[in-house]
Amino acid sequence: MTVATRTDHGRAAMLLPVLLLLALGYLGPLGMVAWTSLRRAGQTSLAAYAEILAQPVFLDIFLRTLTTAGIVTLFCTAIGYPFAYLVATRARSWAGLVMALVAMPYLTSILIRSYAWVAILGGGGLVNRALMALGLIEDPLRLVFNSFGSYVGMVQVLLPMMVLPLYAAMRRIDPTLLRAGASLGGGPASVFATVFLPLSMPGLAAGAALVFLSALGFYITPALLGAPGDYMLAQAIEVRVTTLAEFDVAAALSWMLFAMVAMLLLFLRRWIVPLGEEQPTARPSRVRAVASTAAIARLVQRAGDRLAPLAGPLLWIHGMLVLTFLLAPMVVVVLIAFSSAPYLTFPPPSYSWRWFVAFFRDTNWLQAGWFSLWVSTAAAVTTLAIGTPFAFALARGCFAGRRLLWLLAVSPMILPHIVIGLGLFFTFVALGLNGHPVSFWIAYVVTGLPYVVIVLVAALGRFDRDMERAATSLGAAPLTVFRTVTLPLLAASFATAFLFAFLSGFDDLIIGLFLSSPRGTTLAIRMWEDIRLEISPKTAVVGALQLAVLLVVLGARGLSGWVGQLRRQRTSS
Amino acid sequence: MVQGAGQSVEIQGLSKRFGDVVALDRVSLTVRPGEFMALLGPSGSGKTTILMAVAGFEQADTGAIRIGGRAIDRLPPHKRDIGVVFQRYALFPHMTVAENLAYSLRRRGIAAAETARRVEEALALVKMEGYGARGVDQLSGGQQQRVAIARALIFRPAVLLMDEPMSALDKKLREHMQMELRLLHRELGATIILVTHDQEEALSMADRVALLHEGRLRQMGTPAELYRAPADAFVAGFIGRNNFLPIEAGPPLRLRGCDGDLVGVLAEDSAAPRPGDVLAIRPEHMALLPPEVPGGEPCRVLETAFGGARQTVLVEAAHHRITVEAAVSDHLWQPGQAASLHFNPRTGRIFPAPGPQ
Ligand SMILES: Nc1ncnc2c1ncn2[C@@H]1O[C@H](COP(=O)(O)OP(=O)(O)OP(=O)(O)O)[C@@H](O)[C@H]1O
Ligand SMILES: [Mg+2]
Repeated sequence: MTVATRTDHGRAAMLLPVLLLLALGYLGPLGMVAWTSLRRAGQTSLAAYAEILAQPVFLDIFLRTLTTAGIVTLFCTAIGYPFAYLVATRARSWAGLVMALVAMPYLTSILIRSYAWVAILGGGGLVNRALMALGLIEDPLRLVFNSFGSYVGMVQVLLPMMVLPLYAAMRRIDPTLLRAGASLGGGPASVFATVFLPLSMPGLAAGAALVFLSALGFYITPALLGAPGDYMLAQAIEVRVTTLAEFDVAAALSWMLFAMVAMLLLFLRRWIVPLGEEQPTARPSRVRAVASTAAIARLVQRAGDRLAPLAGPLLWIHGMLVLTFLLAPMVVVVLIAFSSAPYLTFPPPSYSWRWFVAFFRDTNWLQAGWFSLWVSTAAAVTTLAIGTPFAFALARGCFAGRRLLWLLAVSPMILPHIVIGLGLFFTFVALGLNGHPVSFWIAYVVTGLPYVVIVLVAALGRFDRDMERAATSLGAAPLTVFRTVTLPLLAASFATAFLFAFLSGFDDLIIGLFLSSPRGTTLAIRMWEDIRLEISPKTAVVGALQLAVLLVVLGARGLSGWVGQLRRQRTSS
Repeated sequence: MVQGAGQSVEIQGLSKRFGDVVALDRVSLTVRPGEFMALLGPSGSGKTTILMAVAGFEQADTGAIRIGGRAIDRLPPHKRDIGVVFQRYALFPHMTVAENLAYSLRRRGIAAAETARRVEEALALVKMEGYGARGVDQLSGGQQQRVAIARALIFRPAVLLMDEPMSALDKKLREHMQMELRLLHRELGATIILVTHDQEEALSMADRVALLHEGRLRQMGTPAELYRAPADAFVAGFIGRNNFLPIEAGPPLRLRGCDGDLVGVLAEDSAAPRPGDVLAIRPEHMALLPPEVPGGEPCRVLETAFGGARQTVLVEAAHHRITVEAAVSDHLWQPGQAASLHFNPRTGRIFPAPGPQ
C-alpha cells in the first residue's frame, strides 16, 4: 500500500496529531469557556446566565446579532446570485479570471478592508466627495459608524463566501438540461425557474449557511464601521473581557453564541459538507414542484420571458458593479499607502513614499511584523505537517465518523473566533503561557487547519489513485511514491493550503487581542491600536505591502503555469 | 530488449468480500509461463479484483498467489516486480515520456547511461522513437497506451497485468493495438494477464481465457474450447451468440412444438437431453432455406439485419424466436417471408436450465 492507511493502527497514527491539537487548542478551550461561565466567586453557579437573561440589553444584542446576520445574508444572496449566474453561464471564457478576482479580497485582511471603507464612506471620503461634486448633496451623508457602514463592510467581506459555492454549483449544471427544458417548450424565464434555480439550490444553501454563520460571530467590521453603541454579540463579549473584566458573563455570552452557531452548523451541515467533499445532498426536486405548481409563479415566469432580453445587459452592469465593490477597498488601500497627508484622507492630496519610510523606521511596527511573520509561518508549516496525514486518512479511509471528523477539523473556520480566542485565553492563562509565542503558534495551527483539511481532502478526492499504484508497481516504496508522484501532482494544492493557513494566522486580529502581551504583539494588533487611536496611513502601507508580495508570488505561479500551457499548445499543434 | 522468460502465476482459492458484496468466491486458476491469459467477464464479475490481488494492491480474504512457484502474499506490491498497465494508463503527467519510462529503472538504482539506453530500446519496442522528450499530455490515446506498455515492460517483469487497456481506444485503433500486443507478446515471452469484458478481444488475443461471473470462475480454456464446448448455459450464452430452446417430454424427446429429430442435432460430446433442459444452438449452425425445401421447421422471417457477408435473420418457428446467420451469397431475406429452418447436424448442446444472459 502507498501512504493510505492499511490498518486501524496506521490510521490512528495519522489522525492523532490533529486530534491532540484540537483537544489542546480547541475543544479544551471551549470547555474552559463553559467552565468559566459556570463559576462565580469560587463556586459553581448559573449567576452569569441569570444575569444575562435578566437584562433586556442582552436580549437586544442577541436580536441585533441575528437580524444583522440575516440582513447581511439576504444582501449577499441578492447580490451574489445574479453575479454567480453571470459568471457561470454567460462569461464562461472569463470565468477563471473573474473568480480569481472574487477570491482576491482574501489576500488582504478583514481589518485592512474595513479600514479602507472608513476612507471610502467617511465624511471626507470618496463617496461623499463624489456626490457633493455632482451637486447631489450639500452636506456629507453619514455613511459610516452606523448600521449602513457595518452592512457595507460585512457584505463586502462575506460576499465571496456566497459567490464561490454558488458558482461551483452552477458550473455543475449541465447546459444541455437547459436546452432540453427549452426544447420542451419552456421560455427563458421558466427554464430558469424550473430547471436552473432548483439545480443551483445546493450552492445557494451552502453559501447562505456559511454567510449567516460567519456573520453571527463578526467582530472587526461592526466594531470599526458600526455605530458605537450598536453592539453585536462578539463586541459585547470583548468589552466584558477587556474593559469590565466580567469573565463569567463574557464566558456565558460566548458559550451561548457558540451553542447557537454550533447547533445551526450541525443542523445545516448537509448543505455545507458537500463543499468539501461529497455531492450535494440538498434535494432540489421539491423546490421544483413548488415553483412549477404555483399559479403565481407561472404568471411571473410569463412576464419574465418577455423581459428576458433585458437580462443580459443588466447582468453585465451588475457584474461590473460587484467587481468594483469587491476590489475597491484594495485599490483604495494601495492609494492611501502612497498618501502624502499626515492623516487618513481619500483621495490623497498628493503621493509620496513618506508612510513607507515611516513604517520601516518604526521599530514597534517592524517587531510586530516580524513576530506575525514567523509565528504564522511556523503555524502554517505545522498545520501542513499534521494536516496532511489527517487529510489522507479522511480522504482514503472508509470508517465511521469520518464526516464528523471533517466537520470538527473544519469548524474553527466557521465558529466565532471570539469564542475560540476567549477559550485560548483562559487556557493559556491557566497554563501560564499567555502571550508566549507558543500560544499564538497553537492558536494559528487551529485556525489554519480548516483550510488545509478542506483543500487537501478535496484535492485527494479528485486524485487518481492509479498514479500511486503505477509508481508502486514500478518498484517505488511508499515514501518514494509520495515524494515522486503524490507530492508533485498535488503541489498546487499544498501551496494553496499553506497560503491560506498562513494568512489565517497572519491576518488574525481577534484571537491575538486576547493573547497579546508585551511578550508577543502581532502586526494586526498594532494596526488595530493605530486605527483606534489616530488612523494613520501606516495600516494602508501594511496592506499594500502584503498585497504586493502575494500578487508577485501568485502572479509568478500563474504566469509560469500559463506560459507552460502556451508552450505545450504550440508544440502539440 | 531481451526479456527473461515469463513465469507462472498460480491463484488458489482466492476469496474477497467488500462488505456484503462477494467480489471473488474461491477462484483458482493457473497461468503457465509465457502464456497470454485473458480474464473475461461481465461488469462486476471480479476481474479487476483478481488483478489487484496479484499486483498486491488489494488483500484477499483467503487464498494464495504464487508467482514462479514462490508465494508472494507477504511481498509488498513494490517488491513484486510485476508490470501493470492501467485502464487510463496512469502516466505521470509531471514527467516526460522518457522520465516515465526511466522511473522504474531509477528505483532500481540503474546507472544513467544504462537507463538512457534502455529507454531508447523501450521506445523502439513500441515504435515511439523520438518521443522521449514529449510531455504525456501531448500524446494521442494510442501513443499513451504504447508508452504505458513500454513503461510496464522496461524493467523486464516476468508477469504483465493489463486492466482493460484498450477500452479507451476507438475501434480501429483498438484492433491495431491488439495485433501489436500479440506480436509484442510473441517477441518477449512474458506472461500476460489481460482483463477485458470484450469477448472478441479475449478470444482473438489470448492463448487461454478464464471466464468469470459473479466472482466465480465459470470456465477456463482456449478460445476454441470455450466456443465449442461451453461448460454451462452461462458460458454458452456469453461467448458468441446462442439460441436457447426448451425441450419437451417425449416420447420421443423433442423441441417444444417441433417435429424434427433432436438427437441428430446434438454434438457428440453433448449431454443427453432430459425434459426441462434447453438446447443451445448458435445462429451460424442453422440454415434458412426456401419454404418448399423438405425436412426443415416451417418459419416466418420477423426482422433482418445486413452484415456484409452474412445476414442476421430473426425468425419465428413454433412460437420460438430464433436468430439465424444466413450466408448472403444468393438471397436476401425480407420480413414477412416464409422459410424453412434447418439445424446443422451435431452442433447443438444440451444444458440443464437457461443460464443468465
Ligand atoms: N473497493 C471496493 N469497495 C466495495 N466494493 C468493491 C470494491 N472494489 C470492487 N467492489 C465490488 O466487487 C465486485 C467486483 O468488482 P471488480 O472491480 O473486480 O469487477 P470487474 O469485473 O473489474 O468489473 P468491470 O468490468 O466493471 O471493471 C463488484 O461488485 C464491485 O462493486
Ligand atoms: Mg474492472
